[in-house]
Amino acid sequence: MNRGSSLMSVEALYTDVISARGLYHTVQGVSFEIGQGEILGIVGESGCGKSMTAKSILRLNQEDKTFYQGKVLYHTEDGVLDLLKLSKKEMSQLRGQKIAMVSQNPMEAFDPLYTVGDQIEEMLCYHKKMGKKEALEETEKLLEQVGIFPGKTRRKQYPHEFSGGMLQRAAIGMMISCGPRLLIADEPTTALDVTMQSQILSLLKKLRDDTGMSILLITHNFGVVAEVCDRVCVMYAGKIVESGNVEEIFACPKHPYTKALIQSIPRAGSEGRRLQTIPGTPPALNKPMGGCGFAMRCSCAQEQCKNGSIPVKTDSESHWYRCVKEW
Amino acid sequence: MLKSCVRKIMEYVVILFVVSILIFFLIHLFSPTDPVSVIIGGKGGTPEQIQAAREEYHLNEPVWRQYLYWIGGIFHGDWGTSYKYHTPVLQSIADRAPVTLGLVLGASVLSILVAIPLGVASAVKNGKPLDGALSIISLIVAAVPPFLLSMLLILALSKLAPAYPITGGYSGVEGYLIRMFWPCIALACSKVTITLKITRQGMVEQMQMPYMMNVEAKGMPRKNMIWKHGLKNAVIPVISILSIQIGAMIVGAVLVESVFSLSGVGSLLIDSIKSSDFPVVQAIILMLVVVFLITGALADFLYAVIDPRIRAGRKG
Repeated sequence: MNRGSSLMSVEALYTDVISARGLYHTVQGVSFEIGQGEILGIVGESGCGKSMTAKSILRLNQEDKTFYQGKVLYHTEDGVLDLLKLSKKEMSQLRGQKIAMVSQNPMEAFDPLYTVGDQIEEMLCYHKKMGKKEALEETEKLLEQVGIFPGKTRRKQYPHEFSGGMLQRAAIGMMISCGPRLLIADEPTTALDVTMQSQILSLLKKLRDDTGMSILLITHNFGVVAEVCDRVCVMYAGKIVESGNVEEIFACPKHPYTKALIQSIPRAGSEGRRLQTIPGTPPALNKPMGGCGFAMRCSCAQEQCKNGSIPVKTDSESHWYRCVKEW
Repeated sequence: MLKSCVRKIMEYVVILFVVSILIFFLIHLFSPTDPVSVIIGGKGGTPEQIQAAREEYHLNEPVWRQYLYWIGGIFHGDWGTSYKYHTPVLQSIADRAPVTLGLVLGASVLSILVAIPLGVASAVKNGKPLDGALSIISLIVAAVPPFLLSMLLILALSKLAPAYPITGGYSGVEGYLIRMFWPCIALACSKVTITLKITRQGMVEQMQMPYMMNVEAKGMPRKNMIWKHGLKNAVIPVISILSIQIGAMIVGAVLVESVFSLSGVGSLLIDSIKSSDFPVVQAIILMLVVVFLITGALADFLYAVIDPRIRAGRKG
């Protein structure tokens, strides 16, 4: 494994979704790169297009109501694939095998009518062409690999017999069953309690270290980013507003939105003081928008922020941000 | 499991007991017709004849005694004697059963075979032309009464295949199947729409469930999403509606039966009500209740087979 070389690069991705309330520009020209074995975080509030970005990579949105533009380049040993140009069948073969996804609510991640084992075996039999018996043994191994003991009895249980944290482990086990090179984790800890959160995060980190797969971690929690990510993209109103290594972002956040997010993490030693919040909510993405999406909520917004073009400024080779002001 | 089975059976026994009381007393206390006039054929018989009939049918005893005779007889396989034909009730019903059984089972199977795949197709193509077309066609089919459809079928058959045995008797299994085919179609058409609609509704819901996106993210082919995961989750309300329909079809088949000049249990019931042949009416209604209980129990059993959460609830 040559860590660092690019596994996936998303270039100027736009995702427009038709819904009952009009056309939503959910992702507006997002570009980022994920290296081999890297954990990249995408942070932002709800409704900023983070999940849409994740779903767009796997093309999991309703086909006839979603329009993609740009490129999602997936680097394989024998060349580069643009996922947005693949046929439905090719895309389907890639899902689960090369790129897998863990979703937010583990309680709703499994079909309630089949055992957890059945649903893992379904994947192994289909992608890996395993026989029933082989798939069974592999399932037990996978469950124990993600910390569910004993695999032999647990695989025969139904999703409603698992706790939320155990289900999320099982979901992770299922999604890595075919040895994907990229795991997209869409808010994998949001629905869990705090102790379970850190267990799941260290499980993800361990799996990355063991298998060398890359992880795209979607979260609204900067604390999660600090715990596991190598690099982070801050997303707001469908755009990435700042990107850099985790150390750089925490040491000197540039964009006012990033600063506000970091200030709103509760910290030890700050008892008694009021926790910083960001007033207002992110803008709806169904209207065309000029300028900086954050201008309405930004304490240092200028005239240019509202309608003018927003320049991209680089702080270091790996750290850039999108703001009118020089920070 | 055993405990809940025993409890269920006790429940059914109580239901049957209550229903049998209701049927018997409602009929015997509130019917304006005197059974004797039915037994002796409506003509004013001689006092001796009337007395003999009263004694033979226990009519000079109090109603509650008559009820005990009836219930006691059923336990010995004697469902009573028809006032009108003076033959055992069970025999009359058994003679008519093949037609009813054939119609109800045939129509149910046909309607399931048509409605479920079309309902699934409609849901998968939600909002597309196929969905719209199926919705219109199924509404038209639902709006055509089964007896009218039967008549149209007979007209069409007599033009297109004059040799086809639409009416009259039949012999052998083959004759039976040929004779029952078109009535089954006519009856099935009236049941297709509701099953289709419920299948479609359930499938549309299931296809939008979060777990379904996961099945897709696992890279499973679409046929797994639809048939393995979607339909299995969507099928429970379909089973509910089918279990109710089957009982209702026994009587509902009457119009189709009469157009195709078949005589099933449904038409026997209607005739017996018209001629105040109480023993037959009582027996058929009680049997209908038994059919409803059995289809209900079967549906409950299927729910448990399909859904592990229901199984877990039963144990607890």
